[in-house]
Amino acid sequence: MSTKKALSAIAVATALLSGSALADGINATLEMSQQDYKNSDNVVVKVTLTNEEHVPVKLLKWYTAADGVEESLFKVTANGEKRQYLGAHYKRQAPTKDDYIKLKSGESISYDVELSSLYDMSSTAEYEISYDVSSLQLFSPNPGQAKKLARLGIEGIHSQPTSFYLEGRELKQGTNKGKPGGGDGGGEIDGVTFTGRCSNSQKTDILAGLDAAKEMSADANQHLNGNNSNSLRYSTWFGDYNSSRWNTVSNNFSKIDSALNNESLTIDCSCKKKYFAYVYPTQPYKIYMCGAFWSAPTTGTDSKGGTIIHEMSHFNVVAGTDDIVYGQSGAKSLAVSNPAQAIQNADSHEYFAENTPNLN
Amino acid sequence: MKKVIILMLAASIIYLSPLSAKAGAIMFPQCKLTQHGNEARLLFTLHNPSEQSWRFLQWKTPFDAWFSEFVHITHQGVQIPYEGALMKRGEPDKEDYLTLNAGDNIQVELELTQAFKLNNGEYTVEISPILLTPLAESKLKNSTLELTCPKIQINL
Ligand SMILES: [Zn+2]
Repeated sequence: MSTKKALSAIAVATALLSGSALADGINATLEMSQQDYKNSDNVVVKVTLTNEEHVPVKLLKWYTAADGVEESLFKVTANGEKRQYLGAHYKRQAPTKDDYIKLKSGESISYDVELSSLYDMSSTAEYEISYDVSSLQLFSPNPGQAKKLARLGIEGIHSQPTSFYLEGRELKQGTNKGKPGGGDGGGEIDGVTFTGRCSNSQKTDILAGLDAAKEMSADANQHLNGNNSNSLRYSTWFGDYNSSRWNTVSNNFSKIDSALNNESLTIDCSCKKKYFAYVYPTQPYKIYMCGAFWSAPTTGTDSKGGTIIHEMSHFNVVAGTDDIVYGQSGAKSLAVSNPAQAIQNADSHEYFAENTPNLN
Repeated sequence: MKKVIILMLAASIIYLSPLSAKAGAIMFPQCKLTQHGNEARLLFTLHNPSEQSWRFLQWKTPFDAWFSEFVHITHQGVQIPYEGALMKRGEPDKEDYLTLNAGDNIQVELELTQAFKLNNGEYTVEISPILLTPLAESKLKNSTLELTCPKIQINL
């Protein structure tokens, strides 16, 4: 598996220019993190590029994963069928000197790349992957060798294929609103569409968060239908009891519950900010998950489930809430000082739904 | 008309009129909004003529475009809905604060059409007050300055 194999490019080059100092011998090898993957596992491949020439070579970074994956770097098949690259193709200016990395003679660089966010890996199959890049600009042009280097760039760098088995996600019968067996785009599971390169583990996290959100909203509704005018849980987050405000909150939660259970959600994983998540209130039902979401617990304070409740409450077609104050202590103070605002505050809805500590 | 309010943590609230702010030993940060020609673009300027450095949380300020609702626009008395994003955050950390050094002038441009649907006409634009706290050792330690920018009329 890891035996290095010279490139076809080398053969071409040596034939053309025997003994010349042209940069052409880049060897690529792949190593999978596992041989078998479950649908909740991230699929990580280690790419190693080695300069087997006796001179330094300058390689265009865009094709090396040095700054993350910004191009399709691999050829991927599932049971022999080609899988499309789902990531972005960046539109760029012509490369400059800074876009190349230098590999000394004999030097290697390695990168770990997560594949399930870049290629559709929703179905159970034997997957085969090889490193496969080519570009006119793959090698930095040297004076007098521009044409040859361009031709070698087009020949590209190719690794031996490596394969692994992946157990895909079973589509649930009955609740499935997706296209059965559909495998294009970011994929759709249980009526949830994924965009923005969600990895397998992220999809798993999102589905667990959604289940938790549904449970929380059902519980919140049950509590609010109970008509306990002296509920500590209600007064902690929404302030003094008053039937009109209670009805507003109750109405908000029945809409949150209905949206969670009946509407098609889109979850985007491209946000790199350190915060939890964001939405455009005028654009239901798309939620953008950010850094803090992935490390949040599934249930409890500021959890995945609660974050989804929070975000759903923002949509104007749901409850049209605002972010008036942030955090538990802010929400508690707001309930005391301004109940009319508390019933419009997204975090207040989230904390009521999370109900941690339990105030029932 | 600018209103400068100092909220002491000790819970006493002192209101300072612009006059006393000018006359006193301490001058406070000031802010303003200006329109670029007839475009839906505003320049927000935060100026610190005082010898005191301040810091403030960027959230819900013009430095947070468009992840919170900090601009309020009305047309003939009717609120124009905000169509930007709303971000759920945890507790703020150091990077979430900006420092306004003594003598500093910091500016940011706001492209209003990125978050509001605007046609031709006259609009009133207002931003949420900015809460500044003095940096480090100061007579003003433990106080918060609530800086309200004057609202402006813009013509598109
Ligand atoms: Zn929010």
